[in-house]
Order: sequence, then structure tokens, then C-alpha cells
Amino acid sequence: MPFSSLIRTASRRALLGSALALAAAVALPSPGAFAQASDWPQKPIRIVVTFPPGGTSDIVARLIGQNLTERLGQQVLVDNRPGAGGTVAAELVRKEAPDGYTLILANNAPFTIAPTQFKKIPYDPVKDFTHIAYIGASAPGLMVQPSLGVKDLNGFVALAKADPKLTYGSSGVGSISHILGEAVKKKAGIQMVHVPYKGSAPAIQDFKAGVLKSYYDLLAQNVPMIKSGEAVAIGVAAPERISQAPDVPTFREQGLDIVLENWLGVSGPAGMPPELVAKIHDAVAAAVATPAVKDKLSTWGIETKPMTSAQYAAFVADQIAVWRPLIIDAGATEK
Amino acid sequence: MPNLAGLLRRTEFLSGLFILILGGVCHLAVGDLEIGTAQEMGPGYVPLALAWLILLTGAAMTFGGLWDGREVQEAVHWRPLVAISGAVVIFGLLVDRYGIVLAVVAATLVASFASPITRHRETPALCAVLALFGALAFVKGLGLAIPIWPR
Amino acid sequence: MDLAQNISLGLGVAAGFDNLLFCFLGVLLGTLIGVLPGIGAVATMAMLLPLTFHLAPTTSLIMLAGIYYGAQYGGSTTAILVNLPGEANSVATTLDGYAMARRGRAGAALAIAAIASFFAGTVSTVLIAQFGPAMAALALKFGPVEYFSLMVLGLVCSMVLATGALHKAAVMILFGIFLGLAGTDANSPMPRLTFGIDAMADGMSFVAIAVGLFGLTEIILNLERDLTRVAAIPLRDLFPTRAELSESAMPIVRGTFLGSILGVLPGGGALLASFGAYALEKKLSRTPDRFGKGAIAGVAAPEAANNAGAQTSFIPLLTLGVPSNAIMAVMAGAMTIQGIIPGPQVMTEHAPLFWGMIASMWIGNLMLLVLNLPLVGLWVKLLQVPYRLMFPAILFFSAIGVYSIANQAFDVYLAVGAGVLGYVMAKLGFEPTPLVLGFILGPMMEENFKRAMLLAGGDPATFIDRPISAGLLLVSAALLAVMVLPSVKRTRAVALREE
Repeated sequence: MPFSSLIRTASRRALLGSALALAAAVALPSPGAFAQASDWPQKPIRIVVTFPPGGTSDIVARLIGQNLTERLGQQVLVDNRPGAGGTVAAELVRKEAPDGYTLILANNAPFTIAPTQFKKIPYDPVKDFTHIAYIGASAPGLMVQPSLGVKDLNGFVALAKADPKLTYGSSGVGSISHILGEAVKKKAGIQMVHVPYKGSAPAIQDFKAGVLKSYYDLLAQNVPMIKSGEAVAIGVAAPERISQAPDVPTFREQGLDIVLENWLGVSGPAGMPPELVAKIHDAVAAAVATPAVKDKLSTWGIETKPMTSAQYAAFVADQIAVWRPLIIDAGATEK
Repeated sequence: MPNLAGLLRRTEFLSGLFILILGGVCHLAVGDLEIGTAQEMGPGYVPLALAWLILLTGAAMTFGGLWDGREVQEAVHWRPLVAISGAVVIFGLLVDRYGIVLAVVAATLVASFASPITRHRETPALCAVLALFGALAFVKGLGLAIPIWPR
Repeated sequence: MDLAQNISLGLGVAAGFDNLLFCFLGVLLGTLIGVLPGIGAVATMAMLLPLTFHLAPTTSLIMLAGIYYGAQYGGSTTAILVNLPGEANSVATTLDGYAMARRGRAGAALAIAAIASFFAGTVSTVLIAQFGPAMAALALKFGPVEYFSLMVLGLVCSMVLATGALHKAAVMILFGIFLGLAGTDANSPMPRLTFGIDAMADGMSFVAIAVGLFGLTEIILNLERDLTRVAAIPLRDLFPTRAELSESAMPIVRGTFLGSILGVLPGGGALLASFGAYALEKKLSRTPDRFGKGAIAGVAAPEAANNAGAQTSFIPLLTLGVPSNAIMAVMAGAMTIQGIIPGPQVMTEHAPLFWGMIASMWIGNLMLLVLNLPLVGLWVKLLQVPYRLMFPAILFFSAIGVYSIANQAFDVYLAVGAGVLGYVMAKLGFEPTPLVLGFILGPMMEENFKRAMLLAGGDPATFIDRPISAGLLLVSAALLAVMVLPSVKRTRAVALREE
């Protein structure tokens, strides 16, 4: 069938032609030019978040992203890549070009917990990243059922010693709340049954249903429950009492030396030019220092602190060392 | 009992083999996950139990299929199966790096071989419409983070 | 609490110009993304979160809620027209909706879906307003033990749905559960069953699997059914007949109530509701054989149930402060952004917001009805496009939708894999629905089982000690017995005859 195959060939040519015509018609300027630090940003910036939408980390990224969008005149987009303790997101960012267009909302999970927790991770949390700007930290606390009749850590410890089957809920094996829960167990010399959940919301639901006797979660988010008397806050793992709940004592002042905070920062792939790092650091620092942003962060329980990029990088390395023994003690390591 | 070729036309026998394959893949996926005990289940406990249940069902079906004479009614037509799968795979291969326009053009081209109902004269126009719509509605309109052109 | 006063307060707020406008924008956008497979409500709402920095709290929440229930309406459209469930809640709708479309009754199916959704939306809005806190109390009766038993019942129901052999449905459930378990779970941070693929670390994408199993498989089968010419579907009456309307009435009512109750429960509430309502109608029907072949009750009931469930899933968030699914988590994030911490105090401290949002849900549902009924004609016209032009378009929408879930090509390949699997399954007489239900319920089952055992100190008696759980298990056992006994008898009869 030479004729029909001729028609087919012809139509395929026509197709290519039309595709090219279309290409010309909708042609857009290509952002292909090599990124120079001095003219950053030339195109939208992506912030990878290691948690699903709606959680604190996600809305922090969106809040700061929104401010950066206005500040830099380029769209800052949030890309949620949850899974495998945040290592998926970190690995994704590590592989990207160090051009300032792919950043990660760094936090404990992939940078301070995963290195100890997993046998092997595909990246080095310090060397494979440029740690650019620290944002702040929020502290988890211990909430218990009012029906337990305890008001402070001593009472709680006494109760747990009497009942080794007391349950506590966490946001999952290897989450901050789990590691804190195990640290409290060890330092206070008590036994408790750990019940892991996928995030804090289902744990709180079971707590409200009375199934769970206690749970660990970021304290600031639980202030309404504490105020309404649905939960009693036993302590917070911050260095000092937090402003949203000044009545809740720290673990430290109750004789248990545990400070564990959920920190957040902005990092990128390794090898970013210093000029670019300074530019991003200054933009993020300015965004965080904006009163509106600072206020919001504070109501969400995040205490901000200015740090240079070098201080922040050192902080990340230090955090790995701080958490390592706790994670091992918690038994949250890969077997 | 019929010979192997005869067996391979029988629905129940083939279904059993199919389930055995699925079960085998499941068993493979479990690998060396920690199994644990019934009291303290490891991450592999439930998956392994499922894999074995699937394998057992598959074995039972295969065995039972020896005596079930019903044969597969519909023949397998390779052309639509291969062309449709291929079209979507091509889309996946291209869209990341070469953008939505090239991806849709290539996918539509491959899909056009799925069935003789396609009129190849119409394919260029269809490609153009779909590419234009994709670029405008999805990328511009909904703001999906997909490149329009190769990057 | 005076209902009339609250509702008038709410209507006053919701009828403000901005709120009406953003409610409309929300439901319109929701309908659009609902129609497209893949681009889900969660992603869209998350993308629009920054916009809420500039809107009043009430307005932004009204808009985001509109996207959600708008997507519920839109999701049924592609399910009915081309067998593509845009999201989990519309899977049940494909069963009879697509069958109706193939018989030329797409218009009636779409119209009944819109009517059922509107009725359910209206009733469940009133239920939230009047019984919200009481229904929240129901949610608190469900701990891990009860939830596990409910999942068991859900899976048994999915066998009721099966039109083919029971053992085939059962093994598909098992395989579905297995697929659902892949990824990261609460009990261990290490992803499992992923063959080391990063893209699967957070589990396989449901949309990719549904698009493959339903949409791609259907295209392949359509193209080979009649290789010379796949005819455009003949168009018959656009709207439901009087008989069809009266046939749908009770299923809509029952679906609405089932959906309203199950929607309050965390996780798969609305999904369980749509399948539960379908299974219930099939059991109650005098002609159960028609289900799966285009029974209008099989469209009306799940559509009412999923919309009612979508609506009442706001209850745990608004009255307890606990988001029960990914969408409610985004709503909670939006509230937090606005400085409102979700919880019981919202109702008292932010009364205009609370009641305004609830009133807007009803207004939004009305808008959706007005928007969707005229669209029925347009959608049905789309079916008149010759299939040779239609199938590449469906392929393209599926592929781009699946890709856009996480911007990863892996999901596209996963959809292809599911499509090929679905093809083999179709040839061998396996149905995809039990697999899909197992996929969604399986991981929740395992998680709640482990949790229940932990809380009970390892004593499995906990499942029969607690009354609600015992009741659910009893119903499951009874249903299973009713199903299995006749089929055992039948096989025996067949075997005897053959001997």
C-alpha cells in the first residue's frame, strides 16, 4: 500500500509541522541562562517541605514564602514531599543545582534524627547542604488526662511508677514526641507504653476519646485544650517557659534535664556561592523579622532567633550530636 | 486432564497462576522486613501474612482450575494494550524534561496506533489542540509546576 | 443554643458580597479540579493557602470549604462519563454511573448525582448546625478497636459489591491491602515494600492506581471491543424519568444518613459511606442483579453518601479541633494561619465565622446545583465526540492529572502498571473495586489493629469486649455468612451436576 503509507508519512510531517508552528505561537522566553548570584532570583523559587500540607512546618513555609514573594518579586512555591522521615525531601534537594531556586525547610526529622535513626541515608546532613538561615524553634510538652489527678512531673512520675501500663501517644516512631517520651522515661526511671500515631491529630482524637492517657505534642498548639481543662500540661522541653503558656513549667525546672526543640531553618544543596547564601540569608532573616511574620510565628509557638549562616550550620551539626544518644536510647533506630 | 496448552486457555487455571504471580511479587517485596511476633508485630508481619494468603489462594485456584473447564472468552489484543501503555509511559518519560507540549504530541502519536479507528489526518490537529489546551489550562490556568517547553 | 438565631446569623455573614463571591469561586474551582483526575482538593487548597493571608478569615475558610465540596460534585462527573474516579469518594459512583452512561443515560446519571448531592448537602448542613456536638461525641466513641471493626465491616461490604466470584473478590481485597501498606507507617519511619523507590516512600498514589485500574483499562478494553468502530454513545433522555426519580428517592435519603454518620469518623469516613450506601441499596433492592449494570439507585445512594460525608467531616475539626483527614488538615492550617486555633471554642469565640461557614455550605451546595444541572447537557454532548478523538484526550488528562499529584513521572508509570494489571484482571474476571477498597482501608486496619493491641496490653478480647466493636464484627460475620452460604451451595450444585 504505497499510497496509503505515503499519506501517513505526509500526515506525520504535517503533524511535526503543526507542532513546530504551535511552538512558535506559544513561545516563551526560556529561563535557561546560567543563574548568577547577583541577579537571583530570576524565576520562581521552590521550598520543599518534609510534611503534608496544613501542619505547622507547612504553614511556616507558606507564611515566609508569601513574605519572600513580596520581598523578592518572584513567586515562592511550597512543594510538600513527605515520607521516610523527611529523607525523601532532603535527598531531592541535595540532587538539585545549588542555584538558590530549590530550598528546603530544614528541620529535625531529616537533619538531626534521620542520620542516627537510619542505618544509611543517601546524604550527609552537614556536608551535602548549604545551611543558610535559621528560623526558630518550638518546644514539645507532655499533656495528660485530668482524670489522672496529677498536676506536675513528680506526681506523674509517681503515678507511672505505680502503673507501668500507662500509655502515651506520639506522632510516630522516631518523631520528636516519641524521642522526648522515651527520654522522659529513661531519665525519670519509669515504664510507659508507647502508642505511635501518624501525626498528632489522631493521637489527640484518641486522647479526647479517653483511650490514651497522655501524649506529647508541641505545647503551643495545645493551649486551648489546656485552658479548657481537657488536658493538663505536665511540662515543656524548652530551655525556658514559653510565652503562650507561661504557667507550664519546663522539665528542667522540675529536675529533669531535657531540652528538645523542633527547629526550623532554610537550607539548600551544597556548593552555593557565598554571595548567593548571603542574599538568601538576608531575605529570610528580614522576612522572619517582619513584625507580622514574627507575631504569627510566635502565636504558633515558634521562638525566632537571629543566627548567621555559619552559626546555623554549626547548630545543625551540634543538634545531631545532642539527639544521637536520645534516639539510640529511645530504640528508634533501624534494625 | 487436558494438556498444558489446553489448561492455559482455562480461566480459573490462569486466574490461579495470575494470583500466584501477584503473591510471589508481594513475597519478594516483603524481603527481609522484620517480622516480629503476634504480640509484637514488626513492619513485615502483616505484609508477609498477606503474601502467604495470596499465594495459598492462588495455589488453590490453580489446583481447582484443573477441573474447571470454562475457557477465557475474550482474546487478548496486543495492539491497544501496548499502544495505550506506551503512550502514557512516553508522556511520563518526556514531561519532566521536555515539557508538556512535546510530551502530549508524542503520547498522542503513539496512542494513534492503538486502534484502526484513528484517522491519521486528524492527528496533527488533535495534537495541537491538546497541547494548546494543556499549556493554557493546566500550566497557565491552574499553575501546575510543569514546563511547557524543553528545559 | 437557638438554631434559628444561629442560622440567621450565619446566613447574614455568608450572604455578604465577598463571601458569596469567594464561595462561588471556591465551588467553581472545586468543580473544575474535581472533574480533572489527579489535581485533588488537597493540592489546590494548599496552593491557595497563601492567598488567605490577604482575605478575611471567614471568607478564606468559605472559599477553601467550597473547593472541597465542589470537588465532590465534580469528581462524580468523570466517574460517570469516562469511568475515571477523580478521587476515592467517587469510585462507587463509577460502578453504575458509567454503566448508565454506556447505555446512553449519562444525562440522567449526572442529574441524579447533582440532585442527590444537593439533598445530602442540605440535610447534612442542618445536621451540623443542630447536632454537630452530639455527632462529635459519636466520633469520640470510636477508638482504635471500633475503628478496626468498622474497617472489617467495610471490607465485607466490598464483597457484597462484587458481582463476580467471591473468592476472586476476596483475593483482590488481600492484594489491595498489601499495596496499601507500601510506604511509611506510624509504627516505623522506614518505608517498607517499596523496592527502594523514593517516589513510593509516602505510599503509592491512590489516584494513579484508580486512574490506571479504571480509566486506562477501560480505554484499552473499549478499543478492542469493536476494533472496527467504537460508536459514540447514543443520547437518550437528558434528565431522569419520573420512575427513575422515585426509584432514587429512598436511596438518596438512606445514603444521606449513612454518609452523615460515617463522615464524622476519621480517615475513610466519606469513602466507607459511599461504598456502604451502595452495598446497602444492593442488599435492599428487589433487583440486585441490576446493580453494576446501570441501576440509578447505585448512583443516587453513593453520591448522596459521599457528599453528606464530605460535609460532616467538618464536624470533628469544628467541634473537637481534630482534623480527620488530609483535607481537614489543610483547613486546620488555614484556620491557624488566621490565628484561630481549631477547637470547641471556635463555636463560641468566633460565632459569626462558625455559623457563616456552615450557612455558606448550604449556599455553596445551591450554587453547585444551579451550576451543575445546566452543565449536564454540555458534559453529555462531550460524549458525542467520536471516540477516536476522545480517547487520546482522556489519556492526556489522565496522564497529566496523575503526574501533577506530586510532579513525579513515577506516578504516571504506576498508573500504566495499574492499567495493565486491570486489563489482565478484566480478562480473568477479577473486579477492581475490592482491590481499591482494600488499598484504602488496609493500612488503616493494620494501624488500628496494632494500636488497639498496644492499648489493650496485647489482649485480642478487646475487640469483642467493647460493645460497638462487637456489634460491627457481628454484622460483618452475619453478612459474610449470608454471602458465602448460597455461593457454597451453588458451587456444590454445579459440581454435582457436572459429575
